[in-house]
Amino acid sequence: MLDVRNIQSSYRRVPAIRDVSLNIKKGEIVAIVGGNGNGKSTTLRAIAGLNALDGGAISLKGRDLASVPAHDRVKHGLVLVPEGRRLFPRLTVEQNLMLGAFATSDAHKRQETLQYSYDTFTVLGERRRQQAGTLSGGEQQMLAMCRGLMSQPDLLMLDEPSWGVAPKLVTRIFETIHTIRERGITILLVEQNVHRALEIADRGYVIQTGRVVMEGSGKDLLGNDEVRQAYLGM
Amino acid sequence: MSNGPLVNPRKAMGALALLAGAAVLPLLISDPARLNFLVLILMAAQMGVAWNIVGGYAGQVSLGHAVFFGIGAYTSTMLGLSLGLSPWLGWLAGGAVAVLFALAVGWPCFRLKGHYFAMATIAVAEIVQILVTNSDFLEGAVGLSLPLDRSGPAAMVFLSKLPYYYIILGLLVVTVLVAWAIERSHIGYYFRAIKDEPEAARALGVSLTRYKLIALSVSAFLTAMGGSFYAQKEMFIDPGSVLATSISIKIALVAILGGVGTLLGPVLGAVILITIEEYSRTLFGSTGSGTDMIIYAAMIILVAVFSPSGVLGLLSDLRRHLPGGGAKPKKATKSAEIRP
Repeated sequence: MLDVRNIQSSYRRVPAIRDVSLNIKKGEIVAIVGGNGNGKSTTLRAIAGLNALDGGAISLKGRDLASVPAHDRVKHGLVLVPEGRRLFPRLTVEQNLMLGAFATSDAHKRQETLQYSYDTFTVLGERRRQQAGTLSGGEQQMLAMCRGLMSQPDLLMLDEPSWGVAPKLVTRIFETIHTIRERGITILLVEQNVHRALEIADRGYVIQTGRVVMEGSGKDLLGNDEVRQAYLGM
Repeated sequence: MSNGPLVNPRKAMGALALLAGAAVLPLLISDPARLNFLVLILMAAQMGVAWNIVGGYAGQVSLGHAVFFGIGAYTSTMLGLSLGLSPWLGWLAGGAVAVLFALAVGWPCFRLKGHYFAMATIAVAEIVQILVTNSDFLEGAVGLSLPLDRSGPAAMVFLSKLPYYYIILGLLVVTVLVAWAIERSHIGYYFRAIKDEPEAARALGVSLTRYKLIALSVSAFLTAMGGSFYAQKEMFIDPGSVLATSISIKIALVAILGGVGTLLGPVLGAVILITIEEYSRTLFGSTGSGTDMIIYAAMIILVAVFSPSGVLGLLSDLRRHLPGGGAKPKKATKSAEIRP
């Protein structure tokens, strides 16, 4: 599905990722974990095309993305749900969702996904005419995820989905990630909540100072002493 | 994206009443100076609404809109002088040239963000002003005069001010309708998305440059029509009267003062700004050259400090705080903030 080879990328001219390689197979949930400021978000942003590459290559379904600008990558089946959600606060819930469908022309699938969103998160349906800025943190995260789904992606990238979400709702968010996979969507996840992320992930990558330092199945990484010490405080 | 009923009946009635009032008003006024004052308000309002499409809805603050105004004025005038083209067609030609210019300039300038974009628009307008001032083809600083021997509707030259009033009122109505249509359409949502969260919009597949160019083109077309109107009304143009920096500032200020990103905010802004301007002119007379700039500056400071959402924002705040003013749910008023 996605093949990332030795990419480097800078954030405001400071190198943020120095050497990141990863690959994701169709239907997998893959987590990128690591501490703050180690290049997790920059990796996702580079894949989405929001950050330019200084080196390396990214290909999606066998197609090199080097010449594809960020806004066209969505048409190729990849979408990023950005950190901090980045909803359009003055637009209604439904308008936010419809903006997510910007890149698709399939009206039937759009309607189906809209219905799925409202069925999965009834609160979104109840508040569909309400301004997105008035929702709670958890509701906003649900909306952001659904907005991402509206583009009918093959690969959904989630940047810190548990950020600013009440603990009670975090469980709900992670459950939803599971059900999204059942819809045949591949998921790449970046999380500071290492435990939760590795629990639901098939595989994980540990990033440190812009490099992949470890990879393995979610279970193996959770059981790994170094990971436990560095990120789980055990 | 449904958004309730197509037209809110109460608002529609209000708009019609306003329009009817505006249509009857000049019939009650016989003093040509007063009538001219009303024409100036309508002109400023029309340009403010046009500016608002790119500066308000799409959040790309241009401080060089005089360039589109000037292009409209010069294109229709030159076509009339050299080819004898009817000003009615000249208007459209001026709009078309302004759109081409907007696309050519917007393409590089929209790579700049926020303040840098605003600065680039100032630079472009200054360059064009200097080029025109030094152009023999456009008679440079001498300016262009429309022939005085033609008059009547076909030539769009009238002895009375009254026809001009109705022409600019019509143009304002068209401009407001365009802005209204954009506000309610998908494109309007994209504009707001680009203004509020450009990166998220891009991550969802919205091409920022493309929609910014659409906003600028529509705005440029309408502003150029205002410029053509000015040329017909004054029958004389030169770089100082249609390409000056003060025009750019005035256009932006009308919208900012009234309420950025609101449909009728610029109309309100125009009423306030032009009234102040006219009174200061009679107060200071010709000795006060430059007073208009001082007033503009003072107003920018006042708006920025006390009411970033303009007079319209101030009014809705007041209504919310007054007893019996309705405990309406507080809406995110981000719409109306100045955000270069």
